[in-house]
Amino acid sequence: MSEINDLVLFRDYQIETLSSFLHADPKITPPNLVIQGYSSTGKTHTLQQFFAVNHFLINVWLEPIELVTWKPFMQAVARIIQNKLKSIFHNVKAPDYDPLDVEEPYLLVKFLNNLFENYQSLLQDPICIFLVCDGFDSLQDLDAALFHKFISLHELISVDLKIQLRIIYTIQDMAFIERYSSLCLPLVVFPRYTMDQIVDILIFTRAQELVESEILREKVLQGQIDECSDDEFLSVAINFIKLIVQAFHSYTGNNISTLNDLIDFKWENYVNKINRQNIFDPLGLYRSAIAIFLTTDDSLNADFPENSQPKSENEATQTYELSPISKYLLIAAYICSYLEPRYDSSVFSRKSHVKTGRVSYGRRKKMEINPRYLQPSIFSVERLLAVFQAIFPIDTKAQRGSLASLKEDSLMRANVEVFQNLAELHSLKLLATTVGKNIDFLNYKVKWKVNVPWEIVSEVSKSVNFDVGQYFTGEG
Amino acid sequence: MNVNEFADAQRSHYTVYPSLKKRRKGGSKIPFVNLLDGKELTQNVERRWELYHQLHSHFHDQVTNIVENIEVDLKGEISNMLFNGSKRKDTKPCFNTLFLLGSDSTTKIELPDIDPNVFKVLIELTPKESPNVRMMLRRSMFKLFTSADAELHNKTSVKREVTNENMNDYEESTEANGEIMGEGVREEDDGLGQADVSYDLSLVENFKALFGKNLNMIFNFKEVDSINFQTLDNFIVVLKNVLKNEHLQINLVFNINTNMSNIEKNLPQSTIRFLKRNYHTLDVSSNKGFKYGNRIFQSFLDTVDGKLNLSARFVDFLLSKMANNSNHNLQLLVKILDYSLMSYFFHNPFSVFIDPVNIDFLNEDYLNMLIRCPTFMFFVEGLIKQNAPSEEIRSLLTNKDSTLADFFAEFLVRENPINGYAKYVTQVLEKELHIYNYNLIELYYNLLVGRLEIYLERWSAYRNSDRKLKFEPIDTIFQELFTLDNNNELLSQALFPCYKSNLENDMLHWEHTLPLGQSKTDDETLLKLDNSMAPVVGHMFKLYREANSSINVYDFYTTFRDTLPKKEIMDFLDETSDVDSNIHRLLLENEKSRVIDKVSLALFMQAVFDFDHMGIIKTQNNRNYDVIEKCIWRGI
Repeated sequence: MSEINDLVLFRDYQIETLSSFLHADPKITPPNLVIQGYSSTGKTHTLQQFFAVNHFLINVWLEPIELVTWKPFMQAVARIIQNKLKSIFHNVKAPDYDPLDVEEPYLLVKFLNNLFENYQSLLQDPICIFLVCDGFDSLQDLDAALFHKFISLHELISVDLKIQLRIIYTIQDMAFIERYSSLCLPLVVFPRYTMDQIVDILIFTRAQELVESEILREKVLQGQIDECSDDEFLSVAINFIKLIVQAFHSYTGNNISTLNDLIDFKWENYVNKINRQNIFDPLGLYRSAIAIFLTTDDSLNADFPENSQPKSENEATQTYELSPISKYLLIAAYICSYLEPRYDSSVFSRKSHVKTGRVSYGRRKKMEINPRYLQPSIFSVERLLAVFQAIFPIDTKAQRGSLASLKEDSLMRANVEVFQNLAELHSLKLLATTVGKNIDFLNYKVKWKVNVPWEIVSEVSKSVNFDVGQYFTGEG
Repeated sequence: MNVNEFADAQRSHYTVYPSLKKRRKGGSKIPFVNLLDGKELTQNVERRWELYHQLHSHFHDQVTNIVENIEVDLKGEISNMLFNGSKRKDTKPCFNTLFLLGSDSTTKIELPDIDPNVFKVLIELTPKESPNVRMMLRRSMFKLFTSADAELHNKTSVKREVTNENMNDYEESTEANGEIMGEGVREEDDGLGQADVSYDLSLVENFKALFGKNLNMIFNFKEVDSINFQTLDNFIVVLKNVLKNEHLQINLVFNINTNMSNIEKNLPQSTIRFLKRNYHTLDVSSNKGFKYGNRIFQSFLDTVDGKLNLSARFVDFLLSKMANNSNHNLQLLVKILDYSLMSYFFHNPFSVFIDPVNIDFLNEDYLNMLIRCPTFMFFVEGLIKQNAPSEEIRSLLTNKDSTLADFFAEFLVRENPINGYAKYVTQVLEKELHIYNYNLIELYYNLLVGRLEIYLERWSAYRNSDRKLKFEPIDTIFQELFTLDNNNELLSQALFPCYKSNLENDMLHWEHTLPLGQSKTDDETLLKLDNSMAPVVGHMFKLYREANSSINVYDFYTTFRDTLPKKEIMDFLDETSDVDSNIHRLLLENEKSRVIDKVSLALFMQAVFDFDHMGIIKTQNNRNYDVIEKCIWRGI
């Protein structure tokens, strides 16, 4: 076992347990073995190394996540076992069974029985064939019955057969296993690594690879860093890994794959900061590369730095990739969804230039609950247009009171553009309708509602310098 | 009732195609009319028409050219990113991801056939085809198998009818697929090797063994925003698993019509990180960036031969309308330019002189308009101020010895300096300062209003260079005759018509539409009534727009009744009762107030039902007959 302990870190106990459970002799090997551990706790890796070291154990691997549903899964089980046996006993002429016939669980039993029987005469002692279902609970269409079917498979296959199937399940979800706890399945738990362990593991797996990376070599050649030994390069890499773990551990938790990703993304930048002076000075190197430890750089947008050029009016409207009309429509829709219609006349006549209708300057009644916390209520498109008209600013070019100003409309009209933008908002799913499909959008029976949260609306309204918050004052 | 009728009755809406009225044949076939108060020569109308057609078709030739180029450019760029991208020697396998921003999912991806050892397959997945991972996987594997199989058939030209027939049956039974695939594949096994496949990712895994080629799969996700993101994520995770095969390369193309942050928000971080390893973004909506818009605008300027001017108001209109429409920018630009060109030729008699050859047709009728041109008047004023010989001025004004005609002809051959300068500026920007992201239309606008400097200041490259591009717009004489403008809001009216508010306007300002005052009724009382009261719908609408969202019918009626001009109505009734016996009886049998009540009720009912027909009120909602609900809002 010592050689495997060299390959796998911090899993001594688990390896010991595995080796006591898994034997070539079916009599002392349990038919089912469950391995539980959350993602990146080394389940797969440990098992792989275990079987690599104990190569006399016949093993086949399946990843249920690729198979999506139970039927292809069973077919894959049948196929992979048949292929394995064929390749082991390639000199035996055994009949081929079609794994695709396995349409039902009982057919799988039949298939396996038939298959194993072919080799009955060949073998003296019974042997085990291990089937590893790596990530059994990651099967897409997992139901409660499937696991039962698998763990009782051994009861249905004849015990007299010389080939015995032993199944190992790796499972992430503890709750899944607890559902079957009454069955007393042997269970090996892989606990999470601690932070120190993670550092060691990452150094063990990644440091050498980082040192040998193309980027570093180029940098070394460019910067003519020649007085540096291999060990010193290694210490640079180790130092980098430690820094990454320290900087991002609070963000990633003990997730090795995320840390691995971060190492991959940031190594290049880090290497670029290396020069002849700071390669021996870890602190200096850290200082010069501090920027990469400050952000996770997870975002895809990080690669589009905002244009440093000042934007003109029409360009600024392209933020959020909506036109100003769309933005105001969205704001209006939000207002319609979250303000009660009975306040409309008082709220908007205060804002708009025309004061038709009941000109009520009275104070608005304060609502008990901030309407923003509620579900959006539905409204008709006409109300949306009216609110839109009230809030959309029209820049009048003519002087106030001049003759020319009479010709200009003081209010935005609902023309085709407005409806175009409305349709666009709908297809972007920023606005939603109550009726699903084949709708006549202008029918008054169709009710609308806004489909974006406050954050987006306030962002949008900021981009057009419109204070939507004032309509929700007192509460927000 | 037969089935069709029944189905018809279930439909929510109908499409009615009005029969086109046949234009009367004969007469002029040109839709242009004689201008200059009808005094324009028919010959000139024809010339105008012809000239317009030349310019129009020339412009459209160029636009088609440009638009086709967009396609070609795009395809080149996409396949360049997908297939020729510098393959990063990453130790870890990853997808090659391409985000197509602003895509309408119609972009075709072409598979270049360069490497005979690599089999490329394009798998397109629409939201409809991707309800869950299982279906996505099945569809893509089916696609992969059929295309790989088809290629195999072409090469070996072995006929295997069984498989083909089965394949044809495929669409009908998805469940049976597995078996069919199995059969087809097993036949191959005999020839090709040990591996066999079923209808899952093992097909991909064993692809090399089966077909002897490396595999490059291109997944084209259409309308990504409509695919369930959970499903999409699961699918990506599934695909991620097969990447461990060395013979395999997977390209993911996402057609996004929202934005990147939407995608980022909806996919888990781990997936984003995985995609981030190797990804490109490409903006395919040709309206992003100004490249194509600039080209179209430039070609329009060239089309009109540099003779036509665009007014600042018109260019501003272009800019604002394009900003309002972020998705079909180019189409809109072409549409507006088209329309303005057409309307210019339609209404301006001087458009015929765009072609200077036609100067021969200049006659008295034109000259009358010429001397009334503001720029010309300004010019003459300047002459007076400079104390030019009065004889000269007079001869200009009266066209003595055809001085005016010659003067006009002289200006015809001159080119518009602004167009030339715009071209010059763009050349300087591109060649010397290497600025490409300018908006030609905006630049042109700033040229027109004399703010070019301010516009160019935004580029540091310009600020730092010692190049100074300054331009003072100058008025050329007679330029208003050759200017595309949006002066009477014709373009905004015609291209962006208002919806419904026309109706509202007409109800409020009924005197615009109804020929009141012109109707010469001899009857004085009727005239009085007409003057004191709007048509019933109009009258009611005034009340309607002041009401809340739901209106109590009785309140509404009382208000309606009280606002009616009672005296005029009574007068009218009195008078008509002489001729109409029904009214006579009504007046006889009821007292005065009851008559008013009845008449106003009748009018009220009429108006309410008219409103109902117009769709601006909703009656009988929730079986509550007391309340009318308002469907439109105006001027709250």
